[in-house]
Amino acid sequence: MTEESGHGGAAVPVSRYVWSFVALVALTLTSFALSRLQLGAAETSVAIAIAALKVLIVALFFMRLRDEAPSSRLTGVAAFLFVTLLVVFAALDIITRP
Amino acid sequence: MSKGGMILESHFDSMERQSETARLGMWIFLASEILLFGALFALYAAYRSAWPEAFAEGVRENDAVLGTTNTLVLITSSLFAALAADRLERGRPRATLLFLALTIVLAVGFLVIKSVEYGAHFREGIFPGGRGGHFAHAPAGTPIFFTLYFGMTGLHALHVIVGMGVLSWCALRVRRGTLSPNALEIGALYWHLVDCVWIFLWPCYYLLRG
Repeated sequence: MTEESGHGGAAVPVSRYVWSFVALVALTLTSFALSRLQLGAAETSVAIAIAALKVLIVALFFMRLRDEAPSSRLTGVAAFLFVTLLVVFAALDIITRP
Repeated sequence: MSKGGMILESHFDSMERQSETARLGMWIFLASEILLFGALFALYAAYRSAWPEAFAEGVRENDAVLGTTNTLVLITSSLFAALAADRLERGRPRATLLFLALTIVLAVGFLVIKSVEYGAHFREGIFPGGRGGHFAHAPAGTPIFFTLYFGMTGLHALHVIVGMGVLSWCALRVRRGTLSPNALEIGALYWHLVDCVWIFLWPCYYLLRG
């Protein structure tokens, strides 16, 4: 057996999809439960961090970025990082105005 | 030479390279979609920073149980889309069609729940653009919250509808036996992106109650 470069249309074990799904449901229920606890200032960071983790699972395993060619991985990761910069600085601008 | 209607073009040295390039094209399109929604999330972040109370109160106005149900519906549909692509790769077109059908049924379910929510807002006098009785005594910033809410969830719902079209078209081609596994995977990528956008919309509009 030779190592595949890119995922080469090679199927991966179905269990990988099922476990990703279980993790996504668990994170969703956790996030919902935490939102009922009135976490105060930490609320936003916790909810967004869980959402980012869920998107990472979808991207790596459902969208198969884990096995994807470097060019596609770079495109996906760069778009996400640049948007994060945009969102964070849009908020910082308003928050830090005197 | 041909696999599910796919022919190796002379300018690619292998089928794998050709498939990889097709997926790269899709990823570039998805990146442009990420930037489109990213700009709207930046608006949300800026306005929420400017009117934290109005935004928290707006979130409390939304039905968290319906929103959470829809999150679970879309996550499950994403699993089915991934399994559909997996089945076609393993040469199982009947199972592929079953999973595609399940994905589309869940997409319809998502839209039904979303329209129930929109209906409830309209009855309470909440419309886009700050129109409606609800805004008479609401804090400043509330009209912006709901305009963004309708704008972002509406644009997302439009993507759900387009995604249903893409998956239906894929299903028809699978039935005829003319869809390559790689093409279905590219169609599924679009559906997963729709899922990813909702994963961020959900905390913004249903969880962050302040």
